[in-house]
Amino acid sequence: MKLSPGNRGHINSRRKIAGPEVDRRGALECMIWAGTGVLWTLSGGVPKSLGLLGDALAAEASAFTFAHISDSHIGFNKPANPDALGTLREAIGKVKELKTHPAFMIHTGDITHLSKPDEFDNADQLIGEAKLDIHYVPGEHDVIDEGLGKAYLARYGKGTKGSGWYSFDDHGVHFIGLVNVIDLKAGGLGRLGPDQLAWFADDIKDKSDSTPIVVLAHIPLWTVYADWGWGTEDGLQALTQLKRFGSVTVLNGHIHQIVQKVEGNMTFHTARSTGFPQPAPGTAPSPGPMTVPAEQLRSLLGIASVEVRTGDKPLAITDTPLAG
Amino acid sequence: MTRSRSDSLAARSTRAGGVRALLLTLAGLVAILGLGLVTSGGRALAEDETIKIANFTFDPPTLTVKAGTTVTWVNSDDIPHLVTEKDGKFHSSALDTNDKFPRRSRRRVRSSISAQSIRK
Repeated sequence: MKLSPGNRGHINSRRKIAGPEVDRRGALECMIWAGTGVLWTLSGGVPKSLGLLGDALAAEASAFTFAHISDSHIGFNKPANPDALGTLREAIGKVKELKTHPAFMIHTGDITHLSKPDEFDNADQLIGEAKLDIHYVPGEHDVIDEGLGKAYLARYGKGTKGSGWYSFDDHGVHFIGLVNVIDLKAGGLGRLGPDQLAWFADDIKDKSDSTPIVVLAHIPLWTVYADWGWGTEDGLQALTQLKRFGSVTVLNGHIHQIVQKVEGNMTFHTARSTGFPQPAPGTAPSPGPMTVPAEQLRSLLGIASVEVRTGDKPLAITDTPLAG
Repeated sequence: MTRSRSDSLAARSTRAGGVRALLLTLAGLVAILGLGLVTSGGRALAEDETIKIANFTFDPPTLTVKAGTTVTWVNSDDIPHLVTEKDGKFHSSALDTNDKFPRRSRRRVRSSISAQSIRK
C-alpha cells in the first residue's frame, strides 16, 4: 500500500463514503503512480457480503472480460507526447493481443483533446480497428465544441439520456455510464446533477442486491484530490445508493494514472491514459501534462482489462502499460 | 458624479484535470452612472489589458479596468482552457496553447455584477 503525501481528499472521501467502520475492516487502499506492469486482483481486501460476483454468476458457464481504455486526447501534440494517435494505436494493438478476447471495450472519456471533428474521426477510425462494441462516457475535453457537448452526443449519444448517460446489462452485470463533465463550476469538482441522479436512482431501484454493478464515469466519483478538481461534488449521492449491492466496481479516467482502493463492497479504479501522463496529486503546480523522458513514456500509458470470472470474487482488473 | 464598480467575470479553464474555473475575476469594470450612462470628466482612458493563463490560474487573478477596455486572455498552458462568464452569458471557444480570447468590457453589465464580490 502506498499513499501519496498529498492525498488528503482521498482519505477524506473514504471516511465520508463508508464511515469509520471501513478502517476496522482494514479496507485495502492502494495507489500506484507509475509503474510497470501491474497485475492485481480486487478480491483481496473486499469483505464478504451479499451476492459476491462469483455467487451471482454461478450459473454462468465461463468468464467474460472487457477492455478499458481512457483519455486518448486525440489531437494532443505537446512535448508530453507528440504522437497521441500513435500511442492509441499501440493501445489498440494491446487490446487485440489480449489472450481472452474481450466482449466489448469501454472508453472513460477525453477521446479527443479539443472536441474537433477530425479528432473524433481519427479516434473512431483507430478504436474501430479493435472490432469491438465500444461504450463511451465523455470527458470534459469531449464537450468543448461550440455546442458544449452536442458534437459528442451526435456521435455517441444514441440511446442515451440527458447529456449522454445510459445503462446496459451484459453477462448478468449491470453497467451504468455516467456523465460528470457538464456545466462544471469555477474551481469545482465534477458534477452529475439532479436530473442524472434521479435517473440513476430509478435505473437501479429494481436491481437485486446480488446484481454486480459496474459504474463508468470520466472524473473519479470519489475524491482523489479536491485541490485539482479530482472528484465529483455530488458523487456521494450516487455511491450511497450503491451500498446495498454486493459488488460494485467504479471505473474512471481523467487523472491519467492508476489509483485504486476498495471500500466495503466497492472497488474504485482509475485508468492510465493512452495519451500522456499527469503528475501525482500535489506533486506539481498544476495537473497539466507531465513530460517524462521518452523511454519512460510508454510505461506510464496503458490499458486495462477486466475479468468477470465464474466462481471467483469480484472483478479482476489487469493494467497493462504500453511498454515496461 | 461617477461611481466606479467592478464587474467580476469568472473564467473557467478546462484542465486536463477538470474543467476548472477559476480563475477569475476579470473585473470588467465599469463606470456606471446613477442612471445608466457613464462618463465623467475624470475618467481615465481605457487601455487594453492581458490576462495570462498559466498553471491553471489567471495572472493577474483580479483586474479592474475601465469601460471600453479590451481584455485578452492568453493560454500559456499546454492544455486547453475555456474562459467563461460566471453566469454563463458568454464563453470563449476552447483555447489551445497560445490561443487568445479578447473581450471588450461594456458599460451595461449590471446584471453580472451581483453574484460576485466586488474587488478592485
